[in-house]
Amino acid sequence: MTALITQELDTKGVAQVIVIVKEPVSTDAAAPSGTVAAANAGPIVRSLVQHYVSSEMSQISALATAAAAGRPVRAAARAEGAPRRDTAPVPQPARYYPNLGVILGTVNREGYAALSQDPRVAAVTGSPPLSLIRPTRIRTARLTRKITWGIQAMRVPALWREGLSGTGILVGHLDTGVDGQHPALVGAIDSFAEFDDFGREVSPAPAPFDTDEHGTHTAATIAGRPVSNRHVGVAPGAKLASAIVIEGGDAVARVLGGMDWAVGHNVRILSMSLGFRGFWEDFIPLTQLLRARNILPVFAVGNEGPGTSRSPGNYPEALSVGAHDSQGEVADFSSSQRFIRTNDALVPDLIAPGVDVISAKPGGKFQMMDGSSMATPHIAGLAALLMQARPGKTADEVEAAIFGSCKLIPNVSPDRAHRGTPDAVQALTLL
Amino acid sequence: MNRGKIKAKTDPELQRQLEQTASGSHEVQAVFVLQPPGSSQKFLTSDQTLTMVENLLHRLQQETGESPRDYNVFKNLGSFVVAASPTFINKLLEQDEIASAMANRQPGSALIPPRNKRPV
Repeated sequence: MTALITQELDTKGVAQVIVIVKEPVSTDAAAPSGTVAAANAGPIVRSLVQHYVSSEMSQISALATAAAAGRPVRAAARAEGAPRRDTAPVPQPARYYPNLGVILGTVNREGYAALSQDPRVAAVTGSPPLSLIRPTRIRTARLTRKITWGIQAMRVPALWREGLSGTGILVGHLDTGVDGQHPALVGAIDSFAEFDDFGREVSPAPAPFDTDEHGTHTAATIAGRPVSNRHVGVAPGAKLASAIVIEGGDAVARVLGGMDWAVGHNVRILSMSLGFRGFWEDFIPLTQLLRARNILPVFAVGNEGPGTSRSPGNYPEALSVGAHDSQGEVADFSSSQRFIRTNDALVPDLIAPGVDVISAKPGGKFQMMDGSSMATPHIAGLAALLMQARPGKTADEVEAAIFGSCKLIPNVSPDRAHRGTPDAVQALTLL
Repeated sequence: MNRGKIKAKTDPELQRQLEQTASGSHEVQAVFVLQPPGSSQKFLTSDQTLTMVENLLHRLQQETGESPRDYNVFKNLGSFVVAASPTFINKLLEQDEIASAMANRQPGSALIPPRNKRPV
């Protein structure tokens, strides 16, 4: 645990920690938990909380603020002269659980050292990442629109009218697999492979199938063909080199096997709606290698909310994607994080449609999903359209055009949305 | 060839697994990223990767008298995975050819599950 705290402090300057206080836990009737401002927090706890810091990366702060205001986490308008639109309370740096005798919050290096040496503290441990717990929402919907809201929001149909569809572009798709028989994906899969836990390709290669539903959904968002004149795919002419590299508990070598295979297939774009929680430096050289081979790495940033991110999506070398809804608001669950580094310190790089995304479901059906996993293939598909339009442009140049086209809508925090949402028409103009 | 007991950058999970299995006979699986040979070369070619891994494992087999149970090379990524005893893995970590290493088996999942899923 100490190694994890040290790693967080080294990369972000702050770390989430749990302090176990030596002060006796109350044996009275269970007290409600609350911030240190709560009346039942004793002087020892109030004294220890001085070592915590309020941080944009504090999940406690973001969640507490959102919960109190009853709305998604959102910063005040950044427009000059605009009144601060903030009716939520100032976030507390720590939360004290009096029935457990623990304090949870964010510390910097000095705070961590002080707490570790304080005689009133029994232990300081790392804190597992908190996740927003969304209510389970089950509702039926029908694929009634001709084009999904996300494709419309990015103004992709304007590129279709120019004759662009992603034809000639091979996109690497590493996920749970893909249902090759789905009407939206027939003809979309150029090659398919399955990798074992040691990164070896299963032989003989099976026909395209999905071990889950995740891969079929993301694949069809990239390159889904129209079904009954209804479009779920951004680049319906692109082809996929798709491989099974995940299905629950995972091995790193499995993902590397898929990446290695995709590189060998000369993909132009690598779309990965996957990642390991936290910041893992070890994949960085591999992502740099993708760039050196002129492959655009489009990776999901994660679904664990503000102050979190996943690797490799949180690397400077990745084009990291967060999620927004149909109003342009950053989804509560969309990860975002600021790192201590000069190059591309804030992730995600941009946000894309990631709420109520309709795409293919194995068995010929369709379903709606929310996630940065759903946002990522929107950008991979957009990149495919642009690469078809300008085949001589490099991956870096295509990325720069996508970034240049991004717009931040009012009242959306740059800390959560970074550059904002891309515009396909503007991106093409910039290339 | 041997950086003299100074280990390559290792992720905490690999360290934990090596400590846990040190006294037992269980193997550890680790993914290694290779260090390009010179300062002017940023990435290894496929051939260089294959050759470097073969030479490295052969050398360590000679030195330790042990062999890895299995290994797999990602020739386009300048990396490889090994299943071997903790002794062998620790020996690999000491080699100049290794830039970094991480456990192949990580806690948690790389799948980013969707937050809501419903039929249409």
